[in-house]
Amino acid sequence: MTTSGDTGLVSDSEILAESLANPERFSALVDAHNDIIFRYLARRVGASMGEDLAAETFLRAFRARAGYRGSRSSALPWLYGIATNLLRDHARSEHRQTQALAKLAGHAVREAGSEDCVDDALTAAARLRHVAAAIGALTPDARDVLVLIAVEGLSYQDAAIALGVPDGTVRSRLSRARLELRRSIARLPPSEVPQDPPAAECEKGISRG
Amino acid sequence: VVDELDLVRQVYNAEPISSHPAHRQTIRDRVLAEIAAAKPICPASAPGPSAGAAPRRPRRRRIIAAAVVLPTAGLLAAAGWTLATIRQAAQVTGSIGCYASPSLHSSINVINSTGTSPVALCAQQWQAGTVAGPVKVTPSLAACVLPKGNVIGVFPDTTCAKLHLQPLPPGYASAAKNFAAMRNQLVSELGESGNTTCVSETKALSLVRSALHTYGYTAWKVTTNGFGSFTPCAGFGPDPEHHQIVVVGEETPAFASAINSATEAQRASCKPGDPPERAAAAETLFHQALKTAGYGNWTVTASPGVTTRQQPCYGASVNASTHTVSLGFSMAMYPLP
Repeated sequence: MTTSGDTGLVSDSEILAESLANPERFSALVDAHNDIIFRYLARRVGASMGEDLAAETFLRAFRARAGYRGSRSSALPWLYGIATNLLRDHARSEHRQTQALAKLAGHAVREAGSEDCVDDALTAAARLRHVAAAIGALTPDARDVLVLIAVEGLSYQDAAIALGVPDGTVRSRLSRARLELRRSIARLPPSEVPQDPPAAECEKGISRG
Repeated sequence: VVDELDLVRQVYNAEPISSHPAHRQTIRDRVLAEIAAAKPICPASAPGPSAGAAPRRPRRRRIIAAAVVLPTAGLLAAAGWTLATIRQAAQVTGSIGCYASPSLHSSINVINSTGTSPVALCAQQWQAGTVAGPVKVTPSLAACVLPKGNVIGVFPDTTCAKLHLQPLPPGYASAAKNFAAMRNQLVSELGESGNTTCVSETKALSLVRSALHTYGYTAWKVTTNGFGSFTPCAGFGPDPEHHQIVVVGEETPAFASAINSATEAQRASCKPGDPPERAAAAETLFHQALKTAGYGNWTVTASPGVTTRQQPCYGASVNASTHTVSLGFSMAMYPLP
């Protein structure tokens, strides 16, 4: 994880401890992690709902701050956990967002591909649409692990803290999720499966999407 | 070779999410509005029925807690407390904070003084893993008087001088033993665990005054708080800083037992990592326990938004005036790390 969670001179756990007696200290935690939590939720349910859920995440964290047991300096995994639990009540919004991402992923790849690479770009677009659909079809547990690790960049340990499960469970869920995605990609129509790896310049273009 | 995780990243990054300042501000404003309305967490300020929403704990734990809450408030530097920097031995005998790191801001485990060395008591807590989790070797510990109160802090791997704190005052050991003996006597007279008797306010006042006299605390006073028709049974909490013992009104053993049994039943089936507790199931559990105890007319309501996977259990709060038990977040539901 790239974000340490340190909010300057004091750690998150210190801020949380201080906020028991001085609730306004909690605002430092909000300022430190507002962007990250909002982006995480917006990716999964869209910006509008993400805003609501981010505020709710911090409110729940605030109400629960007396029970914070994190010995690590960063409260971010804990906040991810609260946010992830909130998502469970918004499955429909997440489904809509995943469908929107599927369309957007295709467009983004097509726009990124140069004229010379148009075939590769179209293939990649189809593949991403397929992957987006496959992500939507995963169980919530599997999707949580996948997003936290692949997109949010959490370590196995931090993902385990966020999800409240042992490290081993995170690894096995991730493994199953990857397997599901691989199977899904394998079910792509032959016309949409690249026969050869795309040329380096095309691959570069695709990855910009 | 297809890297599924890279594909997942591409999908989720297809729509660039920019954290617009307006988003940030909206979130911040909404959170800070609630924060501004919040009060410091200070359980001592809310004993008895007037508290309304004080988290329920088993009776024995509540009495112990009553003995430490006021000093704990000092530990947490709670707002409204103006603590004199008095360091006389008789005034630093109540509670001990075992700190997890050599800082006043680190997490703490607050325990009652039993009259033995604070360092030894905290060393036991370290060995039990209740201060900073499991440790192979207990660090060297230093016992100091905290700057704004009369509470003792025990810190690892440092000295009182480094923390700009005073060491324990002369005569602390004998004062602590005397104080612990008085407290133990009151526990035996007013009861502590699994009480089946209910000591009245009048009887409790008499017992407390007698104990203070016996153990030489003649300048101490006794104050009462929270007695009423719903809370006729006495509990107590020593407050060395203010030279007083607070006698508080508590519920009847039948009611306390109903709440405690439901709480324990939930605790037994609810631990961090579990799915969040279902509000309806928790309500049924508590309502059934109250009904069995003869309080079937009480209402139980669970807040659906306060449990998480990390903290999935409900704790109960009692509001006697509305005959309502509210289920919500309670740190008492979780063991110390």
